[in-house]
Amino acid sequence: MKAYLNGHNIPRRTFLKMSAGALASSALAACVPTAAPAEPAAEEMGDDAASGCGGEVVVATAWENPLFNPLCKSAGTPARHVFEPIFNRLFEAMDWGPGPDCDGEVGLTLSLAEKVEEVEKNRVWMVDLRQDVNWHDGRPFTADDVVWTYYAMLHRDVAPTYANQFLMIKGGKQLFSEGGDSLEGVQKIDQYTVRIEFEEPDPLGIVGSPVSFGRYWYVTPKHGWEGVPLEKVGTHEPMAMSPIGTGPFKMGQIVPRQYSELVANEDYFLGKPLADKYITRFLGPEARDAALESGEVVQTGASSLDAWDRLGRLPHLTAYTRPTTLLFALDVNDTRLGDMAHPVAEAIRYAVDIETILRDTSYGTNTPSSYIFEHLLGPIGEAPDGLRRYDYNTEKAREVLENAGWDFDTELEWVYWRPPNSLDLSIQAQLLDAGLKTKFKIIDVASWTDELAISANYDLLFEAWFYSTDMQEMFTHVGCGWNFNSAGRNFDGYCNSELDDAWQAALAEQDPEAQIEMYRNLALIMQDKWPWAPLHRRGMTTMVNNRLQGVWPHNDYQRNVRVPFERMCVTPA
Amino acid sequence: MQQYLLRRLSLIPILLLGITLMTFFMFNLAPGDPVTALIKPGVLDGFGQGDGANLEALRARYGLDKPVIVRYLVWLRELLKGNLGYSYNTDQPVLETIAEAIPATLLLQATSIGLALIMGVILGVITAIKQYSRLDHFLTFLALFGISLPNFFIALIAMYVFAVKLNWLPIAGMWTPGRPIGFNLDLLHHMVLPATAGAIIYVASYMRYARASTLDALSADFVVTARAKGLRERLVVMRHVLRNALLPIVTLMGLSLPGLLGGSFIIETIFSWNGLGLLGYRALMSRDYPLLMGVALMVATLILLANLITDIAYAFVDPRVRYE
Repeated sequence: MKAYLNGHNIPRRTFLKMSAGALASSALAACVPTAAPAEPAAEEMGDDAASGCGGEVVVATAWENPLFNPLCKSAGTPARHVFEPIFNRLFEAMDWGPGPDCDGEVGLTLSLAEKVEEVEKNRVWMVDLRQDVNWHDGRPFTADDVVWTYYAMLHRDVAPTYANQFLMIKGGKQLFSEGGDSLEGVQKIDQYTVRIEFEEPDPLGIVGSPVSFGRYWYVTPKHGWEGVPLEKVGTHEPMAMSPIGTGPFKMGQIVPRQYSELVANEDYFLGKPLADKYITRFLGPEARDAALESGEVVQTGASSLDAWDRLGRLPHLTAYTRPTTLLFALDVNDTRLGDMAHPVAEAIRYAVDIETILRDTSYGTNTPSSYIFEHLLGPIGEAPDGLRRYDYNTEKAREVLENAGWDFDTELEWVYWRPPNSLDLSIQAQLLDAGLKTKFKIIDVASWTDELAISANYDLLFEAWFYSTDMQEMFTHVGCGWNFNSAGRNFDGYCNSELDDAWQAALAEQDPEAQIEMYRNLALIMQDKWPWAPLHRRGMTTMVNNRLQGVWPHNDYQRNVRVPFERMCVTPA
Repeated sequence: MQQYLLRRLSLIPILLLGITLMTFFMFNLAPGDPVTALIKPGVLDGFGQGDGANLEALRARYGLDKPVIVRYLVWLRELLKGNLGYSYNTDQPVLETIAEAIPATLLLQATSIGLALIMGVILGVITAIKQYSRLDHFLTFLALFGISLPNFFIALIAMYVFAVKLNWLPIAGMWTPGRPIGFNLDLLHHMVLPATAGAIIYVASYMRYARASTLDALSADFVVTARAKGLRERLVVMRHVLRNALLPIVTLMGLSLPGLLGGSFIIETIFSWNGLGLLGYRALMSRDYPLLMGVALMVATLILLANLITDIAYAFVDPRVRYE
């Protein structure tokens, strides 16, 4: 019998034999285990590695950006974790603490910048750059690179998603909307000095809050894009796939949707990295958990809180969590509720058993937090001295409302742009127990600006506030007039001149001990007068193999946010 | 045959048009949009960098402020020019991204089908020959078990047992980082788990069909004649029974192809296999509409072509079938 295909006669037996042969050889080959990755030879190891720690750091993440280019338009996504070891910033921002004051001594950690001098209060700075830094291709890092990076980032033809956070730079708005040949606010003074000028004085300063300035952007080499049209900057090769940075690791190989392999930059200006390679694998949630458990990767975020809890019990793994600056609170609309706003906020703090709810919904990775200045006045989750404790007490909540003359038939409008989750529903049920009726109103996410930021059409808003614990930044959430149009976050128009004056006096205070007491006084004023009910801080979780050293500087929440990739290494098994 | 082929091929664009129309509108009915997906999770929760004004500007930049029907027509016009657009997330041409992913999916699916076919037919024939034996009952039970389990569950169990606990196989990915990439032993080693997990459910189906058709063939007149002529049982089975028992399997394979390609979304995502399924999943999660549409178009095309090939293969396997 013959088979017929496309007019050719093929003996069926031959066809079947060929197919079976190919499959069998594939199957046989697949069953041959491959050897374990070779360990680097002892003589190839540096002094640190010889002491036992070095090797390849293999981490896993779900996020991947196939373009390793901070100027590609989606670079503001979590993909930055992948290329962070390749690049440096001028200076590093702080998540926690009083924030930078730009004199290079307090709060501000310098990186490519060697010194930052404030020329005009909150408006003009002179930045001296390090002179011992080379790009990965050997060319020197200079002021031209800094000027280029600011210019390209803000130009409308490049403009990554985070660019709009830099519009305060002089000429930035025009460059962002119309384009242009230069950025007036960032000028080269000499080969290693740059002048940075804002349009108007900005209380957040040159670094400001870590989210609004500095976290997503990295200094990029001007020569990497020589002759490239601006509209091609985001995707230009080789910068897109083989980026040139100044960081502790250089690009080795990238296999899209599989892994990126970075190799140690022996000339790194902070010293040769301890690890030879830094490999990031892009894995799905189940594979990440499994790879961590088996030891294929040494660090990753847990796929779920259930996984975080289970894996954390294994002897070779450690589950870390730390509170972030994101403080979740129920904001009670001061304009809508008037005199009732503060009693409602206070009743909420008593009415919600946040500790139990968080234990049930987050394995305790989120931290109960009823006070906004814990980073200054006391440990997270504990009432600072002199402030009221808000332990769960439904009767107390009712009492607060009754004393204020609250109408228990009133139904508060609780606004969201997503369906309420189990945490919201639990809180709603407990509020009802205390006599506070609420109903959810879901709005289109695109109508934020109009509905919430400008019109403040809500009674209750449960959201994360305070991306930074910088006291200047925090003031924009409560200060009189810090509304949406003035780049503030005080959307419901709360205004308390006593609070404003006390806050400004505290910011101006030079004596640290006196300043702390002034902040305590601020907390007392806000406790009694600000209609706001902080409930918890979101926790950041990660899982680490105990062989990995130097990975996690964040257990102390007042440390710098930058991961010290050059200090990461793996101890021998 | 040629006329039949032309008729089938001419239907493909019409079917694809309908599929893309439905897909496009369904994606746009889903809550959220690519702009909110571009912003870092958590930032949306607090009027940070993703405030309303910025979101609106980004929507305008991607053309998402236009009506859905206008966006579809633009997409269709560009498709006719051979342009599937650019990924929202990466700025890369969709066609290029998909072209990179197709070989991985085809390799995995071909191996899964091959494994399922070989194991299914062998086990089906054995259970038919040993009908009502303990082995038959045991394998039939296993087959029912295999059919009942969803492939994601099989995949996770296999990953846990063979990769985490026994450490025989890699957990996921296509190559060991730092090793040469390409079609090599490392790739085949990484393919064992996903290919097997994808094949198991089909092994069970193929085995049940192979068993039934083998039983039919075993009682056919030509088999009785072959035995009467004194042929050895092995020759009877291999030469006369097996060939005839395979015919329904070819149909079944054709019917399995859409499921296999659909299942590749799950298997490839779990095992981080760099194919169309993983690409589609990531595009879905980030609401990357151009990439999603490209993947949907490509998967639909592959399924339509696979069905056509199955029909041709049917004629190839069964000389009685001719398309005139």
